Amino acid sequence: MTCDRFLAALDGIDNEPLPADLAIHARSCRACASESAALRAAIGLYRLPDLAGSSDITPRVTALLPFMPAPRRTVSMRDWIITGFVIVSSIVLVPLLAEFRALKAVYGSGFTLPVFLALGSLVTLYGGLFVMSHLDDFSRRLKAWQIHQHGRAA
Amino acid sequence: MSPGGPEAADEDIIARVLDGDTDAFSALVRRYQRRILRLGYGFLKDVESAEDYAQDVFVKAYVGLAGFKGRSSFSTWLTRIAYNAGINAKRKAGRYEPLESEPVDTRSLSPEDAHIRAETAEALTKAMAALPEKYAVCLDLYFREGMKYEDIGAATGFPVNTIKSHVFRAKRDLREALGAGEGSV
Ligand SMILES: [Zn+2]
Repeated sequence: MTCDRFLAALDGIDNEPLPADLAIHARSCRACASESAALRAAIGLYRLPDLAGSSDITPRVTALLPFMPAPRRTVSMRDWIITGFVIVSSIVLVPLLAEFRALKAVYGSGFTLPVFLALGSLVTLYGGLFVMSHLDDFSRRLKAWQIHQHGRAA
Repeated sequence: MSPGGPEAADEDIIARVLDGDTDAFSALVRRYQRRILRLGYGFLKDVESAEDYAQDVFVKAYVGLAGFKGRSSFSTWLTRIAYNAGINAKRKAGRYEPLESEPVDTRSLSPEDAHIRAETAEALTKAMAALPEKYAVCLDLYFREGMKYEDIGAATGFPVNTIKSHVFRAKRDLREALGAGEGSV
């Protein structure tokens, strides 16, 4: 590696330790080693100080939080839709599989019944979880709809 | 080690907050307020406004915490909220500027270090002034906050290659400035 290429690479590297090829050059070239050390030191110094005159804002923030809507773990609507799509398409696609047809030919309903029972309970489970986890949402929407209807009637 | 203590991973603290432990959130505020305050100053150029801004950013992060899915680190996610809040707040205050020598606390530095720091700040301020203004904050996220290209891209929405080339030029200018300073001593 030449010194020119070292310096160009030095300007290009991310916030990370010197990559191996640069480190090897720096070990054998004092000029590049000191250039790299000076740059690192300058950036380190630039990074040090805090905003002067500012105070710890933690108490201000924590005093406000109880008045804010608390965050809750949620599964995004996108994940719900993808999961639902996977379940429905498996119900459609499984009977088309060659393995499914081969096993069906041998065992008949002794095979197909348990498979569809399993898929059926999966759908029930999914539907149940979806409704349970969205009860709040449904009741909010229902209330909004009732208020809307009431407003119209009045 | 307590789960909300100073050594706890961000993800553990977030899990506790989502489980209803609101107080655990204060550990995240303590951990990241310095960055958010500095960014706030860059956008608003006023310490008091920077504090109001930082308070806003953390409250927004708390309310939207369930939206943090761990696709990036929490610090990048928080920086994106701060960046967007800064862009909105800045409309009142004008151009983004790095911290000047005035509002940073350099009392702990030796005179020599303070001098190098001042030269660095000057060179980076110049580099920022030479850029379209919207990219100035990228240089601060890189040089001051030590963020990586990818994370700066995730926080600001700018292409990683654009950020990289601006940082590249700023570093070259900075090395030149430092070299020139050395020669004159
Ligand atoms: Zn060299």
